[in-house]
Amino acid sequence: MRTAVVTAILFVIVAIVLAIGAGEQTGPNRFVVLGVVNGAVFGLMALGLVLVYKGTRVFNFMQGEFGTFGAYLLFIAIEDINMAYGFGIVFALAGVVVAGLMVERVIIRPLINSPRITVLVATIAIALLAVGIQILVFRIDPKALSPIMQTVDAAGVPQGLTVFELPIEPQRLIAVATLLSFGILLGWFFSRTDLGLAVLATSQDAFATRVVGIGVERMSRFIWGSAALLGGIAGLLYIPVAGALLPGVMSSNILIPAFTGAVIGGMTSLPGAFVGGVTIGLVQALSLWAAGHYFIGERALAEVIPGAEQLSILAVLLLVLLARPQGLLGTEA
Amino acid sequence: MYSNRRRTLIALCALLLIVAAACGQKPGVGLGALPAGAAGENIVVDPETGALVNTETGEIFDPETGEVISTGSGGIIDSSGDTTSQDSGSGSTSGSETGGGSQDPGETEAEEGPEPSGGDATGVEGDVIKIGIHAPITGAAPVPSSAFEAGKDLYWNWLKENNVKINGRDVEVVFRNDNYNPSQAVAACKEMVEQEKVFMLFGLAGVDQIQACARYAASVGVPYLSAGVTEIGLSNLPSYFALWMSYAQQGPLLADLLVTKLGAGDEVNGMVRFNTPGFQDAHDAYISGMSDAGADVAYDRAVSKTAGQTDAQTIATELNQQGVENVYVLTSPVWFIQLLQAAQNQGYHPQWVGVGLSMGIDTVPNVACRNQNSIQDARFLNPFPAVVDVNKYDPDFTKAGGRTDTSNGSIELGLWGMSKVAHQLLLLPGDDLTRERFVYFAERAQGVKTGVFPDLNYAPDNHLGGDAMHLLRADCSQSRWITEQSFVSDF
Repeated sequence: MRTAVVTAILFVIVAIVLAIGAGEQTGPNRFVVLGVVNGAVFGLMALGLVLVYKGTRVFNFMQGEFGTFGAYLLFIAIEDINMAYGFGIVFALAGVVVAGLMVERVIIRPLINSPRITVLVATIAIALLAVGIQILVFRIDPKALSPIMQTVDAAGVPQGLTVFELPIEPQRLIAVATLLSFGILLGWFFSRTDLGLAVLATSQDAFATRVVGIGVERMSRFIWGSAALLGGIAGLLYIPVAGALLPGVMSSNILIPAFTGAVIGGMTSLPGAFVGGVTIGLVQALSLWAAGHYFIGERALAEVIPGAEQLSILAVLLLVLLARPQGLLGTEA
Repeated sequence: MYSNRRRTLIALCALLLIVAAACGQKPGVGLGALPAGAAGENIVVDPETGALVNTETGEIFDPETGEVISTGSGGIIDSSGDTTSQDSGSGSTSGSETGGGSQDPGETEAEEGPEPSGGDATGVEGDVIKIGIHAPITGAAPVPSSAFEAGKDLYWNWLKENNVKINGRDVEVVFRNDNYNPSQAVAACKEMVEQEKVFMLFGLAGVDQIQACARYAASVGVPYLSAGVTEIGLSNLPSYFALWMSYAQQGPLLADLLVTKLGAGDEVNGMVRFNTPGFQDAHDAYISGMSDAGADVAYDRAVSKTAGQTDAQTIATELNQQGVENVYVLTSPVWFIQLLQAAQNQGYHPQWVGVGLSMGIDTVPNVACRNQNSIQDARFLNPFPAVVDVNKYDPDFTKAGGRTDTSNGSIELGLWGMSKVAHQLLLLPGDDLTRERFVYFAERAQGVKTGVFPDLNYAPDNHLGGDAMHLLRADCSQSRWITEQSFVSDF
């Protein structure tokens, strides 16, 4: 019920903004679209964060680097090994899942009974290590990664869908569809399957779960493998349309907005990750639009308040947490 | 009820804090401590270093005390508060020509004047001169470390192989990563000066880092040579020398390129720049240059230095929405690539233009051309020619091992050119090489030719010696820059 209400409120806000911008050449309508499609990538990343949090009660700072690692694997597959793009994706995602399982086995599982803060710090350490390895192996040299489908045809005409005169690349449409699919799939998984309930039970009381015969290690493996897969998918969908593949790019560009989205949504809620991600996308895009559109004296807001979009996100985060500390759709489990 | 009220109150307080934080980033805030007349519209705050700079006069103020650290008239304030003027010199100025022909080191002319004797010879030990270079190898706009490793000693090793000495001395290079961060740049420069005992410093890239290090170098009397970037807080430093035209000097040249060569006079023009005080003079010079050339800049946008892909998409959407046909981009190369990709995704292809050095490295077209030729025909002013054409200008570069077949070659060529300038300037003081004599002779050097960079002509009251640039055009059939015009001072 609450999910429906929050989503409805979000829709109403979007509708009001669209109505305000209707007919105005430099109005915010295109930026609403931009916010939603960007928010889909944040949401996809947030889903992975929520998955780990739901299963282990840990904030996973490694999540972004699963995405960057996957993108580098895809780059190697299609540029160095000359694999077909489809096989490259399979290769990259398989590699990312293996990396996730290795992280779980080598770092997370030995810490399974440690305080959560210890595990959190461990994920930060792994993320930094991953960035360091990327720098060593791939150097700080921007690389271009082709998208699944080209964004423009041979004549330079944009492909995909055009909304409010804004072309949306096929890659971003795939991201939106993937986010929706995974949101529904994971929602069903956690509420309707024995394995999903077992994951939730493990997160609440590992000892009791073990007593009733559920393998805590198996659950941990499953969570980290799935989270790595989600992070990898987000990376493969985002980086080709972002322009440049660089070490740590997903952590620096996506992780913070995704975290914020997950917290706004309520760290335990999968629909919340979706709503939070899209909310962050909208706030970012609209505040950037406002920063260039409105002036204080003769100076644009963007010049008077540098980083207006970051401030807007923080403001929204603070307001949501003060009004509802458990997040918009947060629940106990 | 009470709980709700308290929550509302806390929320309001939090919002106030956010607004206060935002106000802290406004140029001019916190100027209360400045002496009368110092505060005003032209004072900008470097958000990273906290330094206060008057964009009109070039004066630099201590952000805490409000005292003037450096004046705009070429003097620095010593610890007692007195102003030490630069030696204005009285030598005659020899003629100079715009051109880039090769010249043997040692032919550079220096104006006559009262010549200092002796001074600080730190970094000159026996037959070795130690110089320090800082550049971002990591951070938001990194230079590929492999290119840097290969390029920093390229020219000096070439001299050694050919038994060429600088008044009987070789040059040894010390390098430090500044992480694209002004504070770390100062720390790196300080370490090179105090621990490594270098004679002089070089700044390769990064406006804020160069500003910060140059100020530090001036405060300890160390000569500092850098890429031509901003003039704010630099042009008045007594030991600072730019190796090519500053961004502000390139602004009118770029306007000339747009209007005269690219027909932008009747088109919709725009500028996108990072929101840093170091770009303010570049912005103002370009706007004024366009105005003088009879063109209007309809779209003028500053974006955060930490801008990401969302910002790139937003800006591309705005540019497209407003039908901007020519865009001057003054940002980091990585963000420019993101902007190009965002524009390409929308089927939006304006004429991209800008100034070098950072955009002139081949990595930019190499990546952007792979993104469906998004950079095709972009034109950028650059201090050196496209590396693919280098043999026409300086065949020694490839003979010395400089690479032309990788993106890193352009960085190597930039370092090669910088080293050649340094070589000529280091020759001028003769055997008695001290920091004071180096500055004295450098600021009188005329016709510094490298064959790579346009000629440099310094004067005691002008340490920005360049007056020409190369024009590069992105050619996606080769995924690199090609040289469209060389040593050009007008179009």
